[in-house]
Amino acid sequence: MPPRATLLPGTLDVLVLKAVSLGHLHGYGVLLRIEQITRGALVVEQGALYPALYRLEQQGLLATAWGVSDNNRRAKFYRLTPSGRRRLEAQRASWQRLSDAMSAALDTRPGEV
Amino acid sequence: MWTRLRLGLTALLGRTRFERALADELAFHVQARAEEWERRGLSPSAARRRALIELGSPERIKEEVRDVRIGRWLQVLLQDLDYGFRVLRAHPGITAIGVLSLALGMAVCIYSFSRVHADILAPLPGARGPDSLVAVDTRLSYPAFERIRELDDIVDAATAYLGPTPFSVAVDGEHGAERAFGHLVSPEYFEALGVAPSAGRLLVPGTERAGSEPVVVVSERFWRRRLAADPRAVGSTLQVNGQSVTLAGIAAGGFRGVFPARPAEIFVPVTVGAALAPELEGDVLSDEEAERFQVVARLASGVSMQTAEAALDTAARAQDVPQPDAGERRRAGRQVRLFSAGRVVRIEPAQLRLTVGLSGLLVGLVLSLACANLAGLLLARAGERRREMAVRLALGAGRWRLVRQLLTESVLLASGGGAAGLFLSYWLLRVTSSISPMSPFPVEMNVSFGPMVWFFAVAIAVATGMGLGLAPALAATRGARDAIMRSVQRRPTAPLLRYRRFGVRNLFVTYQVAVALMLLLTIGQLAAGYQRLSGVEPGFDTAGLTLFGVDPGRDGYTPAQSAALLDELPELLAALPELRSAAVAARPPLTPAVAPGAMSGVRVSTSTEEGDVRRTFHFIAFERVGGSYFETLGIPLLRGRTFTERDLTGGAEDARERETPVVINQTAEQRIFGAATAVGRRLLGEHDARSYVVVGVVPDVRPSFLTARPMATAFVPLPAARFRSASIQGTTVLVRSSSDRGAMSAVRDELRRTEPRLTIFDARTMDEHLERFERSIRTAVGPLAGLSLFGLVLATIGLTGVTSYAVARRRSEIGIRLALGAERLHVLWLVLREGTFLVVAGAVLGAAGAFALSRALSALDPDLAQVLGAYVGDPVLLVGAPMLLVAVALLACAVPAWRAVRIDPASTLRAE
Repeated sequence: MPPRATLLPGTLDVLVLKAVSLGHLHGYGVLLRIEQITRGALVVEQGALYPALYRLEQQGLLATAWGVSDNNRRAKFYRLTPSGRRRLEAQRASWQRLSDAMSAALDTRPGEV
Repeated sequence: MWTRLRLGLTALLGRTRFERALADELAFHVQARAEEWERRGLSPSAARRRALIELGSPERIKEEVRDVRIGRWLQVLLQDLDYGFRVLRAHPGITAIGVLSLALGMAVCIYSFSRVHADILAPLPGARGPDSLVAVDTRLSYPAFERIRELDDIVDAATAYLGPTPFSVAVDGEHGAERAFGHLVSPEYFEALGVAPSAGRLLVPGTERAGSEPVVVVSERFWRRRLAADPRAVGSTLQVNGQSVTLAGIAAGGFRGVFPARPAEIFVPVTVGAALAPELEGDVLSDEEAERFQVVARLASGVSMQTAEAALDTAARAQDVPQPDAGERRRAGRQVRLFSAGRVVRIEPAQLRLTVGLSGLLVGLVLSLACANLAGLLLARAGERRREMAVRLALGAGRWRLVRQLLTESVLLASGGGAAGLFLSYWLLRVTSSISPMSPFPVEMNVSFGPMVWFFAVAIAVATGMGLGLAPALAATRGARDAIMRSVQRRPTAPLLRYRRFGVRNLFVTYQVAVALMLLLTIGQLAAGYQRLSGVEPGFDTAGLTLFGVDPGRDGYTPAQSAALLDELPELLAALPELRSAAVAARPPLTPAVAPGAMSGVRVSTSTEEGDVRRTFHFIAFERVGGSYFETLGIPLLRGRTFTERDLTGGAEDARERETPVVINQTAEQRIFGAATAVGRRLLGEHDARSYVVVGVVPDVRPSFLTARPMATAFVPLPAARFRSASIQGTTVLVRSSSDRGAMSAVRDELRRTEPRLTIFDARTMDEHLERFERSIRTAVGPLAGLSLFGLVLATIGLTGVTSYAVARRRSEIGIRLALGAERLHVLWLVLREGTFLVVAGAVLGAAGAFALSRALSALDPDLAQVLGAYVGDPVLLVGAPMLLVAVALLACAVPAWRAVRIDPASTLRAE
């Protein structure tokens, strides 16, 4: 198992959006998908997941529908709305800039200045 | 926005459904997780425990999710409210004007709605199935009613009544009788109207027969007021018109008769006979000619108004005997018309639609006028706020979020206006309901603030707020954010050059200024005229003069006893130490001459040449007065003599050929006889074909309220025999004492001792009597003044809006001018010029309109003509009203103009 990183505040929402953007998911599925796409590096606290899902739904970024899961049980499925997609794109770009800037800054060696 | 609203609402309302869904979701999670652990080798129970521990407390999760759902919604709302309040506070001027104009507009709307609702939409209190009740618009004879009652296939039931009829009612154990108004009804009355008793029984057709024990029914209000809500009152004995009757029951449900605007408190069956009710004298129940009864019927189901009208018409005239002259006229056209009786105010169905539609239209107009103006103002501000909005949009705020914020603002404004309007309309209702029209019987305009009115007020406040805010909100946030940024940076340059002089908005403002001035001038004219008229001295000393009514015929006096009583009464009272003199009259002095028969045409004949009758008509008010009338009022005799004992008691009634002596006033003398002497000349009454001889002339007194010039008046003797059938208001007794105090109690004491049966009603001093007129006028002028204020406020708002708008559009131009060194005063004038042009144009139009309006009003109504004539070019008003308007209007322009010249040129240039 790879070493785990702590989740920065505010990152859970982006991760949820990203996870859902890859396909309709139920709540538990979101949890698994996040573990999967972060290659297990980021672990989401399960109790924090549901408030986040409802918050995103409230903001109109996620849409929900009841459906049937793989093992034939009734489950609530989440899907990205157009504004959720836009938000994800904006967040992605901003993370990209931040992370580029951070790694550029942190990777700077004495000779390069 | 809507999903959020919906979610928020389900969060608040559909709590349990949401909880269940969340529980299901968490259960699914735990199960899936446990299966996962089982696959990894844990026992089912251990796997499940593990899954539960990982998830944490489901209650805490639920709590957090709830907070997210409700919190978010409330948070946004509170944020909007807070922001709205801050914006409104930041612009106290606009807020005050907005709340004021909306309050006025909404007060007008709420007032007229509650009026229409109470009078026309609300059902008749106390009656069952009011929609099928119809009333005949003319009075019919009792036999005609009986024929209508038999039309089984047309009407389910019918009733006839006489009313409003005064009764003098004495309650056992109470001192003396008091007057109460009620209906003399056919026994079917309550059955036909579907009224239930709250105690005892109501009238029953079979039981109430001539000769059976007389019973009456009273209203709940009467039971409360006069019978002290005594639960044992039913079955007790009352003295009605001097006769003992049994109280059979109390009508339930606030029933106050079939026409509650003229409330009836006591219901007496017609079977009691003429001994109890003098109205029934002369066999009116079988007399085809006695067309005195009002008829109300309940239509059988499926019968249309038209069918019923035709059937009732036939029944009403079935027994008509052909009459040589009057017959033709009476037979032409339909005699019976029906209208709905199931409402407080009776109204024909076609008229109902018209009235409701018209008042709806009027209300809409008033409100839309107020809104259009305010919207203009908000729009101007929205223009100023475009930059703010553009920046916020650029920073990522959703457009709907901004629109919603701006809407919250305008709804807040409208709610403030609505609350103030509610207070205002409540006050208006109180004031107008307290006006007692000059009528001999009580009139009640029962308007109350029911739930419907509250609902209406809230509905129009919200609708107004939404309607008001939507256009500015959309305007402020229109277009893509970058387009707005561009437009903010580079304004279109067209308005720099020319301000559109004849834009719709400008015409609208000109029109408002004109209407405001018209209202100010016309209403000022009316108010000044009324003021002047009400200040006119009545022409005699009112101090120490007291008047009251008596009606011995309704107190069990026989006609002979009545005549004797009223003959002696003045002397009896004048003998009291507290009183100086007393007199009787058919009606109180200074009563409006609107009563039928009060004004009569007379022809004048010259007494010198036989048969030479001039065919000129003069309208004269006839006042029937007893002896010592002029003495008591303190009116001196100018020429001739007053009435003698012989004039008053002499058999003028039965001897047609005898001439009736008449005393006329100066106006009558001058108008009819000119400079010639009047005493000894003759008048021929057109109304009674009787010959009158002038015996005396008295100076003018102010003959009635609302009349600037004295009316030609003839005083004729009031014959004692007339008391047999006194009108509703009875006979007026006037007494003069050295002071107001004590006179009435002395009269009461004396009459209680000598005439214990006699009921005294409507006792008041002459000053109180006059005060009643004045008050009705003051209260009539009040709302009018409010209306003109409304016009002024509207015009002011319109002007401020237009000028602000212009200034907002020319900000950069003004900035450039200032930067290039323009004088501030010059710039101020630049802005003011536009407004001034509109104000002056409006004022000219308004003055012309006011002139035309007062001309039109004068042509329409002679009373109004006198009122308007009384003011004739009051300089204060003629100069003052336009000055006031112009001052206010210029102030309205000056505020935005001043703001404009205080623009910092540097900041404008930076913005460019």
